[in-house]
Amino acid sequence: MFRLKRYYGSFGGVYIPELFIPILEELESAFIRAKRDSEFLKRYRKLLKEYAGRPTPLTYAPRLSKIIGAKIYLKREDLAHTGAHKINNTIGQALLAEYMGKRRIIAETGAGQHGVATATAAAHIGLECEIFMGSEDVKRQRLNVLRMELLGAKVVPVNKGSGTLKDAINEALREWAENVTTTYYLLGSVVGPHPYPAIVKFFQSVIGSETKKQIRKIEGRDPDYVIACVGGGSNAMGIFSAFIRNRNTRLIGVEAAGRGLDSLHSATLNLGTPGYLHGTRSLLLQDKNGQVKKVHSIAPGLDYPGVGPELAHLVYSGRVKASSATDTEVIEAVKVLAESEGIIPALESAHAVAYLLKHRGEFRQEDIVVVNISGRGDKDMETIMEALHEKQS
Amino acid sequence: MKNRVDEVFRRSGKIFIGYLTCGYPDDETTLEWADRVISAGFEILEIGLPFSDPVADGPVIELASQEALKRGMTPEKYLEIVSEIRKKHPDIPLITMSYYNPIARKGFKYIENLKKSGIDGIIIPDLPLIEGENFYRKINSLGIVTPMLIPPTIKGEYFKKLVKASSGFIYAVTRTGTTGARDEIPPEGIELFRRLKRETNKPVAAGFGISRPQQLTSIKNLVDGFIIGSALIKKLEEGEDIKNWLNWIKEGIKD
Ligand SMILES: Cc1ncc(COP(=O)(O)O)c(C=O)c1O
Repeated sequence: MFRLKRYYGSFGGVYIPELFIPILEELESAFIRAKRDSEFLKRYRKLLKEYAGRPTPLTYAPRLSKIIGAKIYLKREDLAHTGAHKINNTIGQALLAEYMGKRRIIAETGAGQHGVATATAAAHIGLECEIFMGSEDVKRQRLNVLRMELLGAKVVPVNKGSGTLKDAINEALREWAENVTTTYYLLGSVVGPHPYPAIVKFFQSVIGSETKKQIRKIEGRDPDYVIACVGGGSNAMGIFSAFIRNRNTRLIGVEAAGRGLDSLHSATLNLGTPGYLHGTRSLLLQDKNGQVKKVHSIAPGLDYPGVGPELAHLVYSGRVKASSATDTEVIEAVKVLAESEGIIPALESAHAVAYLLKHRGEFRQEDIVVVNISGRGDKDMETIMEALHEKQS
Repeated sequence: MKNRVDEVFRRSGKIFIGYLTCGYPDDETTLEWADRVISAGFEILEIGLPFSDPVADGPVIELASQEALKRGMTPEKYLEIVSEIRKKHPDIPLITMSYYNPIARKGFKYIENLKKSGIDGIIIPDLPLIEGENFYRKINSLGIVTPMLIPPTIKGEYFKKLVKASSGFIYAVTRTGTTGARDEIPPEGIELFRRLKRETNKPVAAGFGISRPQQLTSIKNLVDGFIIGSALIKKLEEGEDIKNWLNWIKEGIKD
C-alpha cells in the first residue's frame, strides 16, 4: 500500500485503472528509497552540475526593471542543458528508472521540451526511449522532433483528439499499460496519479532552492513576488516550493488565456472545476457533462486542460494567485524581453513576463520580483515570426 | 433485492457479455444493435457511456466514443436509450461502463437515475477500489452490482480486497494493456484465472482482447463467462450475422 500522502487538500489520488496500482506502489517505494539514498542523490546532483549546467544564474534585469517599476530578477532555466527546466526532472526520473532496473522509458511531450530532455537523459544514462507527441505539436515544433530523433529516441505522432499534449498523455498511458512491468513512464509535469506530482516536484525544487540562496545573497532577503507560467505546473511548483512557507512572498501562476478567457484557452486554475483526468483529481476544463474541453494556447507546453493537484490546492487555499495572459500579450512579452534584456524566452515562459507588463506600475520600486524563465525561445521562432507577421499585415 | 446479473450467473453454461458504446454509430443504431446482440444470445449487455479521454480503451472503442460524442451523446440521452432497451428487454441484465469523470460531474443522483432506467451493474475502469471503496458501497446500497476489474498485475492483500468488493461477477482482465482484440491469452492471464479459482466462488468473467474461441481453450474451465467488446463492435460494423458468430464461439469452446 502507499506510504506517502496521496492528497493535497481534496486534490490528488490515484484515479487510474487497477492494473497501475501495484506499479505506482513500486514507484513510490523506489522514490522513498532513492530520496534517502545518499549515493543516488550524489549522482543526481553531480549530473545536474556537470551535465545540465546547474546552478542556473539569477539575472538582474535592469532595463526591464525600469519598464515595470520594480526590481526584476530572472531565474535562467533557459540556460540549463536542452534549454528548459525539464532536464531537472528527466535526469532525476531517468536515474530512478535505472534504480528500479527498468531499461526502457516512455514519455509524452507537448512543446517537445520534455521530450528532448527525456531523450537527452536517456541517451546519457543509456536507456531505450520512446516519445509520444500530438500530431499538431509535431508540426508546430518540428525542430524538437528532429532533436529527439538525433538523440536516438523514437517519436510517435499521436493523431487523435486534438493532436496535442492531452492526447499524447492518453497514448503514453496506453503504451505504459501494455508494457507496465518493463517500461518506466517518465511523466513531464507535476500531474498524473500519485506519486508523480511528488516526484516531479522533488526533482524540480532545485529551481526554488537555488533561487532562494541566490536572492538572499544579492538582496539579503526573500523576494516579494515569484512569478511562473503554469502548464501542468512543474516549473511553478519547482520555484514556489522554496517560498511557500514565507507568507511575505506572493506566488503567482500565469496560465494561457489563449484567444481570451471567454474563448479558447487553457486557464485551468482560473476557470477549471474539480474533475478526474490522467489519474488525478484536480481542477479541469470540462463541460457540464464531464467531457474534457478543447483547449488552446500559442505555447504548446501550456496547451493542457488539467493542472497539478498540489497547485490546484494552493490556489484553492489562497496561497498561490492564478493569473493569465493571452496569445497576443505573450508575443508582446517575447519582444519586450528580447529587446530590453537580450533574452528570447520560450512562449510558455513569456506568459510570466506578460504578467509583469500587464501589471506594470502596480509594484513598488523597492519590490523584489523573481520571474522564472522556464525555457528559451529557439523552438518557437517560427510561431513567433508568424504571429509578428500577422500583426503587421 | 434480486439482481438480474446474479440471476443470470445461476444458469449453467458460459455467460456471454456483449459491450456496445452508447450513441455509436448513432442513437438509432445503438438500439438496433442492442436488439441484435440480445437476440443473438448474449446474456448480459454492457453499455458504455462515452468519455473524451478513454485511456483504458484501445482504438475501436476509443473511436466509437469519439464518434458518439461528436453526434451529441450526453448522460441524459444515455438514460433514455437505456430505458428503451429495458422496456423492450425486461429480463436482460444491463451494465453501465463509464469513466469516473462524467459520473462524478453528474453526482450520485445520476446513479439513482441509472437505477431507475433499469441498470443492474456499474463498472468504472478508472476508479480503483483504493479510491472508490465508499462510492462503490453507496452504489451497492441501491441494489446495483459493481464487478471489479482485476488485471494480472494485482496480487496479495489488494487482490483479496478486490475479490471481496466485487459483486455480480469478477471482471478478470486477461492481460495488461487496453481493450481490443488480440491473439493469445498470456501466461500471467492464465495464472490470474487460476488464482481466482482458488480464492473465490464468485462468478468470474474474462474480458479484454477476446474475439475467437481458439483463444479461450486455455481458460474456459477456469471462468464462468466472457466479455466481448471491440470484436463485437467490429462485427456489427461489418454487418455480420452476430448469432452465427456467437454460436461459432460457443461451439468452439465445447469439449
Ligand atoms: C519552457 C517550458 N516552460 C513551461 C512548460 C510548462 O510545463 P510546466 O507547467 O510543467 O512547467 C513547458 C512545457 O513543455 C516548457 O517547455
